Amino acid sequence: MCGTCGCKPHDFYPKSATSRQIKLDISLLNQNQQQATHNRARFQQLRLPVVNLMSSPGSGKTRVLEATLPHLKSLKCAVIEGDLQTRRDAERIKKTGTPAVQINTGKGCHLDARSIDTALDQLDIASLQLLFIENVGNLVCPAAFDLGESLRVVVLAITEGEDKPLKYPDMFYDADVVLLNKMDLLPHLEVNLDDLYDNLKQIQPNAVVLPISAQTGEGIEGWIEWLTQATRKFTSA
Amino acid sequence: MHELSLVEALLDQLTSTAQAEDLQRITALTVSVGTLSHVSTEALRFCFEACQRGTVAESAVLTIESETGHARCPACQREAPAQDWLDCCPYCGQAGRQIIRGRDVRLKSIQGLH
Repeated sequence: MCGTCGCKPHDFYPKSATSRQIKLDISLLNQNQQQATHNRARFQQLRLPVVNLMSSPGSGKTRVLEATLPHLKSLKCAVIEGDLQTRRDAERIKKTGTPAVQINTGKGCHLDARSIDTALDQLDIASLQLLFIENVGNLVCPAAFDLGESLRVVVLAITEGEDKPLKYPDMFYDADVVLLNKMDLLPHLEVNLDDLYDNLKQIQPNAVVLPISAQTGEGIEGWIEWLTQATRKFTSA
Repeated sequence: MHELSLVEALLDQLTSTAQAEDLQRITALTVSVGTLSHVSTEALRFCFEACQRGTVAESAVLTIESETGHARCPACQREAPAQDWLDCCPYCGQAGRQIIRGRDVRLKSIQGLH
């Protein structure tokens, strides 16, 4: 029945209108997946590793990038920044001497594959050797949207507590590495790291976990080593 | 709320299917939501009803089904239903199962008028 005036569909259509059922079984993520597959093929052709950084808001993704990029001076890097509003993160990245493109999603809670395709137009992608994407701070929605990335990095600040992996399993299930950030604050917190590791293993038994502090630089070398190793298979023919 | 993005994709799909199948109107549709998908069925319905006006599915009735997730045990390799991410293997009790189905949201069928 029509929601506006209460009329029924048969008031509109001639008596000869026939009703038909059509079976489809199509994923609603299909549209995004097709664009992500296209992005991935483009990155593979350029032998460009692409790292999708995800986390809650405020867990330190931008700070991790600021601590990481000075160690990668020998590589031509770029960063795509995703936020609802402001160009602040892109401005911070540019101060490290790295090109950055800001995507403002407005009210969108995640980046999707199409937004990455659009952002790539603003970068000299053919000259790049490593591309970082900093997703919108959110532990739910970004997990469902493939961007065509090579690696998924989840940043979890220890200030967020030990139970985040259990509460937001999708995000941690697909992570290639989990960076446990803000380790310098450990003496001031009640967080139980053994429980945090156990909770992560319940979701992803093979999870690689690297404790770091983007603020003090603790653990950053280990992270750079992991990143160099993990991106290698995407740069070779 | 990624349900709005999913509804936008759903309406695109309904429009193109109606065109391809030569339907004047879509009167009903069924969408399945995986139990491991983290999609809220209430939010999905709310977004659909907010966006359907002015589309080929303006008066369509939305039915939402639940699709039970399935997972494979990393220890005994057996597959079994998984209602929740934290469900352990029902055969050997192992945690950390590999999800093989139930994270998706799918348009299963439509009913339309020629």
